[in-house]
Amino acid sequence: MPETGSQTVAESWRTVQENVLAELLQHDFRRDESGLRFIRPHAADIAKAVRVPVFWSPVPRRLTDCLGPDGARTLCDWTPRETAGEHFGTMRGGREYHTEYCEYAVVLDAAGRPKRVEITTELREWWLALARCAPDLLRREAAQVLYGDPEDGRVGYPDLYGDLDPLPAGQAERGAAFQRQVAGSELNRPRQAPQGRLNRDHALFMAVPINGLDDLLWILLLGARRFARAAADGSASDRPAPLPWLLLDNPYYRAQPEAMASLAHLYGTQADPAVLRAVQLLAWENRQISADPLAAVLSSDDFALDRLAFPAGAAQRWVRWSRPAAPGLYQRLVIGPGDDEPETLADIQVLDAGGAASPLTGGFQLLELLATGIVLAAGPRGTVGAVPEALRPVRTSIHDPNRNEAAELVPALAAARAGLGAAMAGAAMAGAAMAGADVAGAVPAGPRRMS
Amino acid sequence: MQHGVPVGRAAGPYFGLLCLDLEPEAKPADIGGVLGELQALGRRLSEGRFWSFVEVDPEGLAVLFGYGAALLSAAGVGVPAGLAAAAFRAPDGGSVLHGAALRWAPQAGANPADCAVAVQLTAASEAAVTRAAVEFDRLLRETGVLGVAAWYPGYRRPDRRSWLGFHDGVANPDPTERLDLLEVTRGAGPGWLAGGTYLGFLRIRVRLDQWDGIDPAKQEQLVGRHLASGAAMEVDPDRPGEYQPAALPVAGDVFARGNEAARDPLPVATGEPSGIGRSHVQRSRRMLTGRIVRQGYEYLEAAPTPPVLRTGLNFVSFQSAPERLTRVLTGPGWLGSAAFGGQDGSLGDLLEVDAAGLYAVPPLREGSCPLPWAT
Repeated sequence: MPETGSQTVAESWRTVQENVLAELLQHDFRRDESGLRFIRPHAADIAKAVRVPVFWSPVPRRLTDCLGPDGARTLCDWTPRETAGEHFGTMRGGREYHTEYCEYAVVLDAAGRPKRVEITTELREWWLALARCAPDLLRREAAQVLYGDPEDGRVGYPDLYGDLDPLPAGQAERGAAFQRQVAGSELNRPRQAPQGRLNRDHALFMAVPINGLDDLLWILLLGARRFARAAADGSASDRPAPLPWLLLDNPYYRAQPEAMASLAHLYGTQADPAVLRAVQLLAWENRQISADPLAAVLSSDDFALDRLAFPAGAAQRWVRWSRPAAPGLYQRLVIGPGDDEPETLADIQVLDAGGAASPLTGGFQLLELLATGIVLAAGPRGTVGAVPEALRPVRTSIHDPNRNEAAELVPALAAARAGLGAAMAGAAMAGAAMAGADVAGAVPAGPRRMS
Repeated sequence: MQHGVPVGRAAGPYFGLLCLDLEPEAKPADIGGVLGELQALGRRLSEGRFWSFVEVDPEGLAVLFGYGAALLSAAGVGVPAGLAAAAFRAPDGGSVLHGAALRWAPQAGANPADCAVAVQLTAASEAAVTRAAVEFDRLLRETGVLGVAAWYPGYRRPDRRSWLGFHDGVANPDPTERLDLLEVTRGAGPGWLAGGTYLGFLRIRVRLDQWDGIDPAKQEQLVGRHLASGAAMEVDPDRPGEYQPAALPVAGDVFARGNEAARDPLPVATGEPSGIGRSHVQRSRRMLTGRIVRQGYEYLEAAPTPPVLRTGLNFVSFQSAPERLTRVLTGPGWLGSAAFGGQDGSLGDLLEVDAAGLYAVPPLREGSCPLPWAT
């Protein structure tokens, strides 16, 4: 998250982080603070730290596993019409499936043609903190991000807070109004999608509940122990446990069989296994760890720009990185012509590995060219001094972790392919509703990253 | 999974890839019969039954069939989207894939590995592999429809080092525990491929004349491993901008028992000042979860003109989706901007590709229809 120059915002953001961490430890980890031996809330507290980039593909793996690349693209790029009635409140089309800490929106021109893709990895919690304590700064920041000018009149308080006048209101009121209008709810149940247009027509920041700060901290804590293979006598061996075992026999959830059973579901994403593995390897070496910055980021070095073909001279204007988090790391990428240019997204060609070209039609094709992730600061080996803990899962691998997802994703894809609005799609997904889940709640109940 | 996919059992150290092409007069209706005969022969050979009266020790022979786009098109099956999008470019001296730094050998005029059927043979001895190859050739001379287009043999060195002198295949994930890295899930591809995998193959000439003149310390930086121990290089926390070999928990090299954790090096940022983030080890595994299951088989062949001895590598990979392999080969932080390792564009003449192919490897079961897409 960028420096805003506001001490109040910085303090508020720090408080948010501390509160989320405390809540996770209290509820999700049942006051077991084992992970805090390794995970340090602030990177500055770790001496002689080296940086460990942990990146993954932002292409939602659940979709590719269940629908194949073509189906995943159709569903991810799906933008239902705003004629969805009550369903508009709970579903926003393909964006609900952007579940790898990277979301995008396709901005349309006046004729309804795709003009630009806005890609963001910014956490909703930071913006919520800003909304609570600094309404004017929020308005300027949103205008800067979306339109490049903090004084742009297209962002006003009604866009951010709805009917609430934020200036005389208290922080709790502001937060609730901003959540209703722009941020959406933290959890899937009850799910409240953003009601205003700002974070629907644009990708101002991530609004899918599964991409939250709590989810990021939770997965860091989940992997931060010295997990070992069990020796023949059941004791901890001198070998680290295989990655899937962390989700099959995690000590935090041994007393909760239902939650433990649902952990394996996390293996079916790109992000969670990557973070888990990195943290596991660092903890195995008894290192202290911190996310630095505590944010999901995009790596400009890993963007396959040479897979895009632009009209002559347009590449520099049409590829815009912003919201820097560290050298080479950003939280926002916008691709496409400006409003003052006649071209559309389709004037950009995407080249496949064989060199065949096809027009850029949405954000999914860009996800395939990107890497998103977090950067960890890791202290020297042996700093912690924890002993290995033996894992003894009943089974040793996780087979096809997304096999149960298709029942809910296939009807959604059918609705997207039919070009249906959200209301129709909602009907198509009656099965999911009957199961007590809304659209993003195609994920079963369980711990974080599934809530 | 077919035998020959390294799940649950290690492939034998001897390898051969038999590339089969459709004969010009082949009819689609004849394909099923020949594939059935090939599969039946593969089963017999794996059991050591050569002819009705000869039984031999098969020496762990594993026979694997991969089907290329040419066969799937001829059979009217339809090429899986991922396979079509990842097709290697025709040899022209340029990149093997759009965005890849790895280039075709200047002398490569055709690509025999872009074939209808690839038969991978692995076993405990060279004899076990080659006699199986000869039996397939015998069969095809009788049946027609398919014919042998190329043969690419190789082997793993017992010292587990490559021609470059460094430990090789150190950080391969164990597919028994990470089956998802190579298994095609039910929804990710056509139904007939569910539970199968994709096989990638590159026949890469390794030009030691381009390598041996490099200072060993520089070689270690390019590879990202310590030459003697195989330990991965890591950033030195006491001297920012410099690197050092990671400490190994037990004595011996990186393959010694007890050093398992040290085989999987931590990611280092591409732009890290020490340069170690651009080493081969880092470039080839930029993402902890974007992995492939790689097998490497060296080869040595004789050329008709000096230099007579030509060294190379049969790069074999298994992956759940072709994109996994293409991302490794074309990603800018991966091998898209350097064919091996080091700064972008460096070592451009070290590797030359003579042949490359990508194949769908469906599960095959004895007694089932030889055309998996027809069941």
